[in-house]
Amino acid sequence: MPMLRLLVLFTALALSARAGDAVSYSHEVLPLLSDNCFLCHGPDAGTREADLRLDRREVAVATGAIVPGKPGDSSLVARILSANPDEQMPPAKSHLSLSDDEKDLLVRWIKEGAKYEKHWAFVTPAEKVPVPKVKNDAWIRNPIDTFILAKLESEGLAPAEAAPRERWLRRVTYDFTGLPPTQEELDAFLADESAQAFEKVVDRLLDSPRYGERMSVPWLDLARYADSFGYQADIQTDAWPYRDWVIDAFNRNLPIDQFIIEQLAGDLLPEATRDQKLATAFNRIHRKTNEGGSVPEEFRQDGISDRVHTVGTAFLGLTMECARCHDHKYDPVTMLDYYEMGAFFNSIDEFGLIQGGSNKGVVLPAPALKLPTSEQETQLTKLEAAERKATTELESYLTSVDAKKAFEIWKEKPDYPRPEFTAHFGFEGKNPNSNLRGTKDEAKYGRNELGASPVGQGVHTNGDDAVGLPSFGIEHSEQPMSISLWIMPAEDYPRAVVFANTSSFDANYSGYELLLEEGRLRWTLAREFPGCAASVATTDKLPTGEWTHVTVASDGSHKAAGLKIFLNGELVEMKIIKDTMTRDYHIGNGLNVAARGRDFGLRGGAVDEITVHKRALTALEVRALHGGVDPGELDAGESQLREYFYSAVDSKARELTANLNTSRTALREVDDKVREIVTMREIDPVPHYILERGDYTMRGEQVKRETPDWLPPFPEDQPSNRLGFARWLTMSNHPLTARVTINRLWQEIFGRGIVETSENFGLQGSQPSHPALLDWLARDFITSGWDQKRALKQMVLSASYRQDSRMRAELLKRDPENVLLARGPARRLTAEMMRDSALALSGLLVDRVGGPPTKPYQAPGSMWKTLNNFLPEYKADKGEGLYRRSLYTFWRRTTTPPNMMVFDTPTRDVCATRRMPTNTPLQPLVTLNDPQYVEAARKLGERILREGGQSDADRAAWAWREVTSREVQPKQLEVLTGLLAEQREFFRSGSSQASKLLKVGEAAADAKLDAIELAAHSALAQALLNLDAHITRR
Amino acid sequence: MNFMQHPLSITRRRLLQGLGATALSSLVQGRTLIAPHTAPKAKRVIYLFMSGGPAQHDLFDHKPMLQELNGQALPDSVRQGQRLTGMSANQSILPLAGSQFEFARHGESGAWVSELLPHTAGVVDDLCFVKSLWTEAINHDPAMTFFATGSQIAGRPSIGSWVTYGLGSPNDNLPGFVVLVTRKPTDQPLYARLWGNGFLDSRYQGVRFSSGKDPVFYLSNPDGVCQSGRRALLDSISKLNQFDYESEMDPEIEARISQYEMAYRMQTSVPEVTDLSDEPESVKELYGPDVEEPGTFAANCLMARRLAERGVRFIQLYHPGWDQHGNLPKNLRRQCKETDQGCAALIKDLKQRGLLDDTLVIWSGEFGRTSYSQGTLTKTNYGRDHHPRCFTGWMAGGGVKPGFSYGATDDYGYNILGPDGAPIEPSKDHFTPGAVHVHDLHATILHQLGLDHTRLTHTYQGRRFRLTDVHGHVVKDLLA
Repeated sequence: MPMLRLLVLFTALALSARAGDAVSYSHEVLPLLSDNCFLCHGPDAGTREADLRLDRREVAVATGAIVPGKPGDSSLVARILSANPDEQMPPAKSHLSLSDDEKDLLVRWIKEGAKYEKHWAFVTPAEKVPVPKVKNDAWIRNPIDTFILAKLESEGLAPAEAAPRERWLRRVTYDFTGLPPTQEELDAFLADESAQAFEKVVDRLLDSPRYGERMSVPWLDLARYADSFGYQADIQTDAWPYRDWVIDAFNRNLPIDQFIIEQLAGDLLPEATRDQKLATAFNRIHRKTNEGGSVPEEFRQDGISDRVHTVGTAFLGLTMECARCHDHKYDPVTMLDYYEMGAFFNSIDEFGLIQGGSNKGVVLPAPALKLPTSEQETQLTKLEAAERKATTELESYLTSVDAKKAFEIWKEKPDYPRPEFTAHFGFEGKNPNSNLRGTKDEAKYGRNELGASPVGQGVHTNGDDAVGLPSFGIEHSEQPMSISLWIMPAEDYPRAVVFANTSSFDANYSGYELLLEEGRLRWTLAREFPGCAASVATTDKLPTGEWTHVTVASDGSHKAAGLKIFLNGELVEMKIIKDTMTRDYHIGNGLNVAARGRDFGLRGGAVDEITVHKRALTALEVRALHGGVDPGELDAGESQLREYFYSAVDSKARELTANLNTSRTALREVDDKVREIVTMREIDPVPHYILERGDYTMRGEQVKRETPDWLPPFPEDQPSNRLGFARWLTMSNHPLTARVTINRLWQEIFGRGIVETSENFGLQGSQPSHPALLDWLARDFITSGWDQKRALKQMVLSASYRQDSRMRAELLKRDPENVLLARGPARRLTAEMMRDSALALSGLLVDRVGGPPTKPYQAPGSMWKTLNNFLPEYKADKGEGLYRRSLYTFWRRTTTPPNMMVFDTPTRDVCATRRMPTNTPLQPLVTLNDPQYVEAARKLGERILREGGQSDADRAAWAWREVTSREVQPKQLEVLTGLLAEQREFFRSGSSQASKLLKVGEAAADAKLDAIELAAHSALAQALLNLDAHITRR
Repeated sequence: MNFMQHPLSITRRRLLQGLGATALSSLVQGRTLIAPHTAPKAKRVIYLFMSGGPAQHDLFDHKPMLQELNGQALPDSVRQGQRLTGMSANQSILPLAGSQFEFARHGESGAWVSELLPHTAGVVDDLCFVKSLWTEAINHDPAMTFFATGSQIAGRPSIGSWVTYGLGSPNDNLPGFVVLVTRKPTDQPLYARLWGNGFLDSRYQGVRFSSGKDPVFYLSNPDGVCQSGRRALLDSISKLNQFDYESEMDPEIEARISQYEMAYRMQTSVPEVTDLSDEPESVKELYGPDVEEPGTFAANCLMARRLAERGVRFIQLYHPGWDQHGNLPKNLRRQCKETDQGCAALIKDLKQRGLLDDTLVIWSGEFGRTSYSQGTLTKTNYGRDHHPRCFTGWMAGGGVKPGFSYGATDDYGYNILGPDGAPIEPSKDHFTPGAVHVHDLHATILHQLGLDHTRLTHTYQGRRFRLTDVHGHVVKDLLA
């Protein structure tokens, strides 16, 4: 660009500069640079152009892009002012551009010395935030107001008059409880002339259990809470105990730092209570899949990432997800930061997928926390004691004189019975598939072929088809068992099934199985591997190309110590792989040998002589099986003989063993019914790696647990785990957590955060409308012990909140979005409030707190099976379940209730911090035609008739006030009474049919009331519920 | 008043600072409406989504060599270690499975179509085949989410939401984005997120028309309420809201008044469009006997045409059931029978009304299927696993080349071939001639609507999101 033209432009711009105010780098320049320049000249080296980065002053200056004090010499200025398309920045292809004012700002900033600062949100708020001076002191009710007023005064705007009392009461009642005030509450408040009238209301509302329900909704959006897992089959999960924990936490005003710590690391707290462990469900209720063929590691990594994203958004206000595949384009979050944070959240014994098939919804992905009812707890305690007693009795008998005597007597004239011998398949003779133990069970071979084996004939296996056998009654993990067979592996398979009786599929098997992994045998009982499994493996490899006799046994304790592997008759050295089994497994349709569906089998191998015993065989018996002889034919030493005697012969020992087994069965039967919930449960740190491009197959360098170095350092006295991380988050000098939290509370009360992008406090987030107020609130919040009720109380008692919300012509022009708060907040009710309010006014609302999700009315064909054949038909509840608050409505992530989605609810697939209220024609269709709302109007109609007086006018006035909390005006009354008369006529003439209308919904109409009158008043109620005066908090 | 774009700021998205109320009318939620970036070739889209993953080797991608090599193992040199799903990865052999269906060339364009699709075969000269679609996901849920939203991650806006967000809808009385799902038992589920608005506001949510009593949920008045009674009720609501508007001066109230009117009009306009009884017999014959049964694919195709006529911007049909892991010969025949005539009828019908020129029709699944058999291959039976590396879809109308075929796969039907006829490893990072990635398809669809996929953005979480992420190229070779 010719210098002359540049100078002309430059001068013109410089002249337009406002004199006086120094440019703020953090609030004015950095957002511009970030939005327009950082994509190519920012933190991400991967997409950096011309080796220029403008996020670092030293680089910007060294490259001449910025010459402090000399905009004319700065190439940045030349480029942004250039009219030459080849030189112009930002370039045309970016579709970005700077306005003249923005260019001017950059020029002025360079002229003023191009000072750099840290992004405001990454700087700890001052210990003491000074309260600004204002002219109109009289307006101030608490410090919040000084910040609001100072800004208004600087803008030359006056605050609004205080709202009428009714309006304030209505606003605060919805804001704190999600429900309308009653007329009694309204009367009491209007009559209360005391100075504490407002405060009394606030305290009453904060004490109501409805408060916790109301405050939980935004938190559950953020925690992506749902009643199903969200992928494909979208199976149900009982996450609601976590939801109830949240409600309770808000109601008992758990300090928010503690609220955060318990959700992130409740399990790691010293002497953690069950509730504290339950709180960690926060990090486990992300979506999970059981779709056939899914790769476990892909989804395990997705789960870890979801935790990082949710923690990033919820507490840090950072878009961590941007750094999963590359360094963040705008914020200083590197990929290293991303994976280092992930390392805090990766160390649980999880598999990555959830189980499907018959186990769907039954077997939760481990780790899971059992939640026995108090009755179950009592039963379990008793049954556990019984199991211990049975164990002791057996043990003491075995060391007793009686036992010794019995053995001595037997030894003199021994017999060798073979009890619990259930199956023997030898694959010989005319009926090679018959069970030699005489039952009718038959083996099925598929396309496998019979062929030679060291003991006659066996099965040569193709690796795809299983040799199929029944389950022989071994169905639960407490049942002792042994299985033996001859096996000839053809190669060192990376993985091959020797036998398995498992349900589910796709590597997430439940049941018992013997695998060959790189030549080693692994014998496993698993509800779910690895989080709920007992598993041992041989240390030595099995030879390939030759036959080995294998016996495995389980003693019913479902502990790794109760599992044994014998090779060629000898117990071999084993390594414990997992010892985490706490609940029963779920077997499949039978014992599959040499292969199973969707798994590797014994390709080119062979098996023979399969036996099954319902007892853990002793060494002597295993030797006998190996040798194909009776135990009596073997030369047994004293100890093997004794072991054999007590296990297979001695009636007393066998009776005591049977008692032990029975006690375990009783315990398991109760345990089966105990509910559980997915939680975090820490294991030793699992190695975590950078994943190149976020791809689970592309491991880069291993990372440590670290927090980003541009945030306050991790406290030295804290453990390097989730607990330490949570305490780091809630340190009083953390610049983000308190600001992000208080901003969301502000958003709930004022409709819009001080930082509007409540999900993003990074460089691309919106600028705070009142930065000093945000800092003051954050400091105040921390100082007051993260007291949420106190913080909210302060907000609603402020003069700012108390303002009338009426629009003024001036504001419609200057601040239609009410950023400056020159008037009170006005917002449409949320989806939940909309329905709850109608239910409350109808008198139908059932206000019980908590419990399993409810299934209110839904439009036919709108839910569940219609879209997803894996799901059952949606069947609405009867009675109470129709009338509970909306936060209890069953939330199926893939098929969400349309009558809530039209009111802007998120899908709960991922973390969401705010909803965008809309105004669409689908909304009136719901509030006018959904049976839920029609029924509510009917019941409100009954209340109008019963409680509203005798004349049309009295009733209309009462109903108006009931629904809107306002006194009716004559012109409104005229419309309302006209409506009544008109509707009465429609029903009387039969044009509309009262009898039909009164049957909508399950609640019977009050038969004492005249049907025509009731229908007409239902119509009146319906009109009122649909008024802006009802559906908007003003 | 327009359904999608009430001119007054309906949401409270941040407005540009200092913006006056008069400027509001040109805004949709704080953003100037995106006028088409380029001259549009298509005004609307009908997307026929075949969920489950249709088996391309049995429909369009004719591979005689697979028949010759039937039963032989897929060579490692062809697969080159590419990932498989856990459903077939552990098989001891991956036996190549030739199609058991007859293929023939059709039309002047000579396109290969199997015997399963006789009606489609009759309109091939109007179709633009893409034999080299490819995607990244290998499981249904992520793959469908990818096709529907441009991302495997849940929570992004669907393509129909993007289009209505960008272009709005010309019809005042119908939603701009309508979804029609075939009513049939499905093996693979659908998800509301496939037509969800993601981080766009909920005005851009696809509205699913059901084949039940209410085509739009809650459309009918409650039992016992007559239409004049409803009208009178709405008049009273309107009056009372008007009083409040006068005192509150909040444009939201005015907007609400008109939304109630709009809802009332929808009670007429929706049944009118979904009631097929006024269609002449000749048209019904075109769509076949299924058209008489609400909720069939044929009925939905006809409804799609009616919606298109009325200017609905984005119409998406979902027909599930294409997931033939086993029993392919029997089940694929059924799938084709359910859809073939409807597809062809829709093309003919649009064409005879002159609507095909500015309506872009797309047919695709979320991925293809393997050329080897999952499970046992017998003389009469086989199945195919998921295959994201290449599959066939077609487009028609809306400014794409008719009677044209783009892209090719190797003789094994396993890999995409480059222009020189050698197998290639396409990348989404740059345009790979011969291959059409999901992002490329999306970019091309938007382009035909006059939208530049790099400029159709919405800022969320500080980032300008696009349907095509940071990828996608308009496939110019497909354009007429």
